[in-house]
Amino acid sequence: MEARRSRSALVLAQIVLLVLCVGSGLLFAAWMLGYNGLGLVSGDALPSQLRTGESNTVPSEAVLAQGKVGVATVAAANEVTGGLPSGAIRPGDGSSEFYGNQASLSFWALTKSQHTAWVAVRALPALGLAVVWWLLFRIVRHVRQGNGFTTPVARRIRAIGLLILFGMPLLQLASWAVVRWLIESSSAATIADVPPLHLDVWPFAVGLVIVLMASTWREAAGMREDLEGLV
Amino acid sequence: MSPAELDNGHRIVCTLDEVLGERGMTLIELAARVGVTPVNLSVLKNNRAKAVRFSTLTAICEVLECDVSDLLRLGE
Repeated sequence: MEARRSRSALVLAQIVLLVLCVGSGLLFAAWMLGYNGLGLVSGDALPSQLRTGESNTVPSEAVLAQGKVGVATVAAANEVTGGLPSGAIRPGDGSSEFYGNQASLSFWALTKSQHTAWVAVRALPALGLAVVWWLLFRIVRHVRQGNGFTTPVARRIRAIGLLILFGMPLLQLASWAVVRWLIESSSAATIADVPPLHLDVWPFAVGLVIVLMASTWREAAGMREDLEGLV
Repeated sequence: MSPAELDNGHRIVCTLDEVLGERGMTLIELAARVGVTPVNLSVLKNNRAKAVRFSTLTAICEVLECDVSDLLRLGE
């Protein structure tokens, strides 16, 4: 009874992972084939789940408006909203203030290579996710077949770990470089700047833990193989 | 040297088959008397074992009234 329940749970996990894999693959395809990709599929033809705002509008990026422009933008916004009251601020009185110099810059005349680069850094995470879901699907299949502690499973866990460990930081770096490239070649280059590169810490931590787990898994697989030949 | 020996990275050859033949005993009977599954003994007999427990060797030697050297030899 317990074994059957566990088997059913693994089958369910496989189905969910396959659905996630196909979904991520479709999202990647939607980006690549959509308006900002190869332009083969119209945004209207896609289901709403695959029609992300960015994939069907003019490419735009959050930038920092430099110098007077940034100050003037914030000042203008605060002028419209009234900014902070001159008197005391009481909880619930709705006081708010625009801060910083962030603006959104749309790029209307990108070259083919710039367009491809901009789409690639947005589409690749979906492809990476599809690969992770597929690897997990294969791992669960091995476990279902009773071959959980084997070298191929350890190899797949390691691949997931490396993908997170190196894939995420590289993607963040690539995204930052692409934005910088687009800004520098635009008419706004003199007054807009790319926000500072921000590298998340969690991919390093999560990726490292998974890679270490994969090493332990490989050791366990080796021990299991040894035990299989023990009489 | 057989491919199996090469695959396992050792040159130990099990001669259990010959000893069983001399004693006129089957693998099933030996397995029952030693208390090991026939599958495991078959692994040993066909040189597919990577390791043998001392307790298994002791039990086999006691049942077959032989020495360890009668069961295992170093192949060329």
